[in-house]
Amino acid sequence: MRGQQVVLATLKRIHFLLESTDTLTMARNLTVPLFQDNTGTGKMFAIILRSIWVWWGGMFSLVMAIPTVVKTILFLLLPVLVAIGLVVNLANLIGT
Amino acid sequence: MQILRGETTLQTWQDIKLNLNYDRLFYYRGNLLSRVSLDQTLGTLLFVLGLGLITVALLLPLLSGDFLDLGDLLTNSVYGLLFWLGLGAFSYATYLKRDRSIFSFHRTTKTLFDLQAQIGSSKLKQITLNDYFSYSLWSAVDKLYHANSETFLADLTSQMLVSKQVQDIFYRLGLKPEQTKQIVASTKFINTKFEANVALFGQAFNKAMALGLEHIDETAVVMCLLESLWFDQLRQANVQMSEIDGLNLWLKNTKRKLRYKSLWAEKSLLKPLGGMNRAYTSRYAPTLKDYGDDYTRAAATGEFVISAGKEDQMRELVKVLQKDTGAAAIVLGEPGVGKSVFLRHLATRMVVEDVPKSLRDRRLVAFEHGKAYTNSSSYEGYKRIVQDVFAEVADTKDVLLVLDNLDQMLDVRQEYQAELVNLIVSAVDKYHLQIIATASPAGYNKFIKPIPGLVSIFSVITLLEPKPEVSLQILIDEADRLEHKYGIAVQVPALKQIVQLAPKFAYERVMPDKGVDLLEEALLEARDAGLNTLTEDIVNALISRKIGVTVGRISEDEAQVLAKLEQRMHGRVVGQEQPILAVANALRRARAGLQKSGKPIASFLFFGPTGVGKTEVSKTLAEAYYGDEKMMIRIDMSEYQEESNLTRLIGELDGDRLTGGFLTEAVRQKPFSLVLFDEIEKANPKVLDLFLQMLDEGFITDGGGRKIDFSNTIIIATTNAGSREIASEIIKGNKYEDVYMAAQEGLKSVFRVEFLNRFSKVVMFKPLNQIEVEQIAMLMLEKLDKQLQSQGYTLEYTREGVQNLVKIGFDPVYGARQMQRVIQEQVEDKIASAVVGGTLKPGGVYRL
Repeated sequence: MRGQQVVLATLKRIHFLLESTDTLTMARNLTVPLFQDNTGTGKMFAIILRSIWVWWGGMFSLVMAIPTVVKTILFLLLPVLVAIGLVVNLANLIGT
Repeated sequence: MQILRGETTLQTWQDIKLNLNYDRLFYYRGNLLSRVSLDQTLGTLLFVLGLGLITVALLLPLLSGDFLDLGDLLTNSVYGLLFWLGLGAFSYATYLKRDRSIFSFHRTTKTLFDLQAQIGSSKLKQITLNDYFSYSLWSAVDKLYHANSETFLADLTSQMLVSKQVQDIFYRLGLKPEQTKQIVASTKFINTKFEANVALFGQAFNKAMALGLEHIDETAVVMCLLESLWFDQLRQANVQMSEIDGLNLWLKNTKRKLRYKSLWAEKSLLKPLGGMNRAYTSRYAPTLKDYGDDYTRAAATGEFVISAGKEDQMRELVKVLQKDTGAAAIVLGEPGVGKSVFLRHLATRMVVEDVPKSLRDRRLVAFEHGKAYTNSSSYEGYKRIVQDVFAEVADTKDVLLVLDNLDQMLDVRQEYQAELVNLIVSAVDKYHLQIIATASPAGYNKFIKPIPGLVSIFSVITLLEPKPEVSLQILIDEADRLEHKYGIAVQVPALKQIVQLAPKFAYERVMPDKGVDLLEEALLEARDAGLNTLTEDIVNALISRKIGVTVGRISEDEAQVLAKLEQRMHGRVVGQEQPILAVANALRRARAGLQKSGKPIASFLFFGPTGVGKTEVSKTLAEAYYGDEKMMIRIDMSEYQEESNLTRLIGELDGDRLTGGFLTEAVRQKPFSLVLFDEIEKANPKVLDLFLQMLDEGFITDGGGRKIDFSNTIIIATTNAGSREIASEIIKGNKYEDVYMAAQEGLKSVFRVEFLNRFSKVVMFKPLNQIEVEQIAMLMLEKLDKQLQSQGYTLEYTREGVQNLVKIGFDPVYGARQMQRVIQEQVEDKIASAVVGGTLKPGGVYRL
């Protein structure tokens, strides 16, 4: 199994989370007025609201992605962890 | 066995090398599937073992009261050792049980879809085909190669037949499993070792790309073989090339459907279901919400629609809609051709984002003008709704507005129509709305075409009736649904028969709608008859009943009738052996399905003197072919001597009203009939031009622009032209063939050669001789006797009596017509006088 494939799958999942919370859409349209309110205030509000949305959406997506990321990291590191755990344990047992 | 190593180039495709990498292809030494299966089993065991060890490592210290802190447990205890061993086993189990379509060492995890996106980029110089093989194909190839199969191709095809996908392909061609096995078994494989057949994988790659497959799989290989190696056997099994084309289209459609489904599962979650777009740049549209049917919302919530075989039109529509400023397209098609399905398919594509970026975050909403009309108390109220909807759509900027059945929307009083047209035109021109309208061709001609302002804003996209092979695939899909509904299995030959015969009736309806209705009707009939399978014969019987003519296979009784057709015709017509033979042959050809498709069943020009049996032959033919001589439409062409008379034949549009023509209406009512054009030489030459299209194309266009189909008619034109030449040649004692040649010259002086050449046969009727007239007189007297007997009288006559009548009645110029007159005067008139005078009473006998 290629680590690259696992990482790609994780990134894809994070991308989907960002899409499903409309975070990426908001980021793409950061300067586009909401509801076609083309007044100066409308444009200003749009930037503020969209920025807030991008921030919170991004945070929310990242929190939601934590299990996936942890799983991926563990998945990649597990063989190494197992090896280290076994060696340390055996060394300690033999030492005692 | 020749050991294959490294990479080899099979062919070049679009300047890209198509390679096979033998090292990776044969990596598993023929054990790919068993290796995968072994890994899965081992993985499961290790998974259980790992979980067990971890559980033991955590539980035992607790149960034994030997509480260890976590640090000790993981680093300095036997339990810790067990824990790590368990985790190791668990980790390895996950590796063994991995999804190999996503995680693989020995080939790319990319699919042909990914490759498709790369085509055209200069970076792509070569493609390793085996990277894109499906697991089952990879496994089969690897296994057969390592088994050193001497009959690689034969074994590969046998293995592929087990695949459900491959079985489905043969089923869709109407072949039973035993027929399929027979085709494969009877294939002559020349050199079937692996090395000799590697080119097949290049072909399969091309096929897989053309069909939009995810991998090069059994389907691609089998489709290649169907079009090459098995083609002859398929033709013997009555499978036509067009059916394979239809199958290709179905596969392409099905694969796209599967791809869309997987995309839809992800993308539909992203689509907003309210009235707002994802970027929140649109505005709320309350009137549109009340009077609109949101196709994209329906597609996102489960109405997943795929339209078959209309890719070009879809591309055209998308191109029109990509314009930044106002764009309007009108989709024209007969009711039932699939206009709504087409637009709902666009909505599905918008949801799965298989459209250009500018159309992705948009909504496709149909304005329900019928609902708006019903809910309005006055026209003004309706107009206000239309105005509000247009204004809201202009404001929201994310809606593509569908005006379904625009022709019906404009079917209102003239002044209202003008207002609606203004609204639509300004909506597109001024407010840059993007509108997709739909209409039937007739509605378009009537309500839209006469308004240049409206025509100029619309790009016309025409949806034609699908080709038979496409209709068949649509019917196969529908059959699947209907089989469940009625609990009756549908055989593919029955569907083929529906596709073949449906065009023969109900001309106002089109496929696939007409075919689906017919299928449902046939299923109902099968259910009522207590059958559990819908066969070809049930469909034939149903359609025969609908059109009044036997279709389908020729039954034994019918075969006898056809074989003895001449005999039957001679029972009614005396002499005229050659014309009767020509007509009977044409009829047999038609019934055997050998007539040219699209043309009338047969067309004859009967020429010869009057009273020799031309009309009688026509009547007999109508009776023999269509079951009743009433199925003959007779048009007296002497009534069409002026050019202006043409409209009486084909009808004309009088304002909005269509006055049907004598010919076109009669054929529309009775599409299965014999059309007799009497005394054709008397018709205006412009009127005769009508024949050119009728005989060539099998249809004419009536005054209302409708196509009138003549492909199920027999056309007979009669003329007395050439009679003089026939008489003079007969007097000289010449043979039929010589008389015919001489008479042809007479015909050519009256008709243009291209007109004569259009008929399937120009048939000469020769004058009757005295013996033939005597036989006709006998027949006439027999008929009269039957008539008298029904009223209680009897007619008795001797041969001498008949001969005496013939002496008076024989006239080489007027033929049997003069004889008819003599019998009327000499026999019928006298009997009438006797009956009226009381000398002939019921039960009495009149002696000639």
